[in-house]
Amino acid sequence: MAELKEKSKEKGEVIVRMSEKEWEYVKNINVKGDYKEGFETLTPKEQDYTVKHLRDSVGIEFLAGLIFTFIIMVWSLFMDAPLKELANPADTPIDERAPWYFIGLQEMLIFFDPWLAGVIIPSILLVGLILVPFIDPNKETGIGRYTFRDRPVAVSVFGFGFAMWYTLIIIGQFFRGPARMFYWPWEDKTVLKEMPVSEMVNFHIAGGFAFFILYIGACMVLPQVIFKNFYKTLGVVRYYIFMSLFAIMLLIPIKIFLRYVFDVKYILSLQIFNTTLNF
Amino acid sequence: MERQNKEEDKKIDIKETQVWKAVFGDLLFGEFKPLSPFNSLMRGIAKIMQLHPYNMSVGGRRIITYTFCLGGLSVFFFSLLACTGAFLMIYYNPDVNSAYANIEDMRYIVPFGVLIRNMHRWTAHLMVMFVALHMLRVFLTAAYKPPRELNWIVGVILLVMTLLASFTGYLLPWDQLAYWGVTIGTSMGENAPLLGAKGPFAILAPGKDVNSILVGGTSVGQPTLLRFYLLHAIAIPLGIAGLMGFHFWRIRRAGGVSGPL
Ligand code: HEM
Repeated sequence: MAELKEKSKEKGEVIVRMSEKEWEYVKNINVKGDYKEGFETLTPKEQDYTVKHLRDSVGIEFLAGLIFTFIIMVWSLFMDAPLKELANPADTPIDERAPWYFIGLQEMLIFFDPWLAGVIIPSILLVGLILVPFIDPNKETGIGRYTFRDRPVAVSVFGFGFAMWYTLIIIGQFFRGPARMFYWPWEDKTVLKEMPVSEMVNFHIAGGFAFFILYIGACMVLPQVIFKNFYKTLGVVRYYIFMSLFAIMLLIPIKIFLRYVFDVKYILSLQIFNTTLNF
Repeated sequence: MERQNKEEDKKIDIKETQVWKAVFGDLLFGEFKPLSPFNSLMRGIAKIMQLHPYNMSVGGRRIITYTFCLGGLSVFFFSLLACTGAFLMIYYNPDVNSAYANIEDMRYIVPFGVLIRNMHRWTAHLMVMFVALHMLRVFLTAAYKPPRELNWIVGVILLVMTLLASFTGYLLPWDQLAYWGVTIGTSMGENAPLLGAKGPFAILAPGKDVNSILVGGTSVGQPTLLRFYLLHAIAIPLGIAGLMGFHFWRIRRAGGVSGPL
């Protein structure tokens, strides 16, 4: 092979090392170079290892478009888009629901007041999403390939958020009946369930403050102490931004847990001037 | 050479069958023929729009697997929505007295109306799902890392606009589902702190808060329908199309979709 390399240098050729998969691909495709069988091949220097991407991809894309048009048409032939009775502002349906992609927000309305569930939390999550490229301290690892091992924190945190979002959607869409009560799939959704008898309680105000101070403190300090390396790679600013966003995200399942297990309505209920802020 | 021949004996290459050749053969997969109008057209369009590089390295080409097509499929769904939507616009009037009847006409009178309406609705669902999945793939392949940060941000805006496009379209049939779905959605704006009439520390009166900009009053009604229609049929699609153009241009500037380093 070394001998071959020398030879090809003289002729202005380069050696391209290919995996078997690449070779399978190149073999079947019209490329300008003279590919020889094997995983190490000789090609002329300029066009060397390029394939005619434009030509091939337009054909494939056209085909994909045809296939999806066909699928959607068949789907549309057999399933009608919903249309209920004419809108009637006087008649609130018992099973009032948002479209499925917003049902996660509606699901959160059960656990948080509307200003939190509908405005503050989604805005913060959106800001968090926009900040992703700047929070991630590692600018090189894993580009262009799927890997968990090389970026475990990034993948787990994002995966957790994504999964939580879709879990909320699935619960909201399939497990909620009239009055947003929880229904198992085998329960009849046309009958209104009785409201649960147990009274919901608030934390005592001192308890509420204590909870938040402890929670935020734990979120900010613990990882710093336990995962020293993690703190070092992130740096101070990134660390605090990341941990705040993470703490807010984690608050959603925590609140759901507290509600279902301990019937907690609000962790903290604050009276500021004439306004009540419930968390 | 020998190994190659043996492989070919064993399996039938679908690209070698007559049907395939007749349908796709020279037109799509064959060499470009200088005189083929279709090829010149496709090549011309693609070149002008700079959507695909003309040539691509084998390594780069190899990574384009199925999940790397989710963005492209979102584009496809968007164009399908534009086509079916244009058709629906012919028969639809954003007026609370006629909107519902227009949709009923679409179902029972307009030829192929029900098919087009169904396609528009189901494709919208698909687009929302595929855009979200595309985001997942971009994250999992770390494609937001430099030099692609800006494209990630543009993507997040595209995601929000896709959701808004679906949401504004949801009201247009003016049935119970639409009315109450949108009432729930817009009531969130009402509860915004400071700027919503019912939110904490409200400083604006009902009918003058942020929510009323969207709804055009204190509750969903004729002004809402008109606003949502204009957003759904004009503003948001134009915004999405413009941002998509920027999105693709940035991909080319970054040297194509991200490859393994
Ligand atoms: C209307 C919605 C969208 C459309 C039509 C769209 C379209 C595309 C297309 C066609 C590509 C080329 C590669 C591929 O298909 O995977 C792409 C790449 C990309 N998209 Fe999107 N996209 C949309 C939304 C988003 C969202 C929500 C995000 C992320 C938050 C995003 C971030 C990116 C990034 C960073 C790339 C570059 C990926 C790479 O170089 O590997 N896009 N987009």
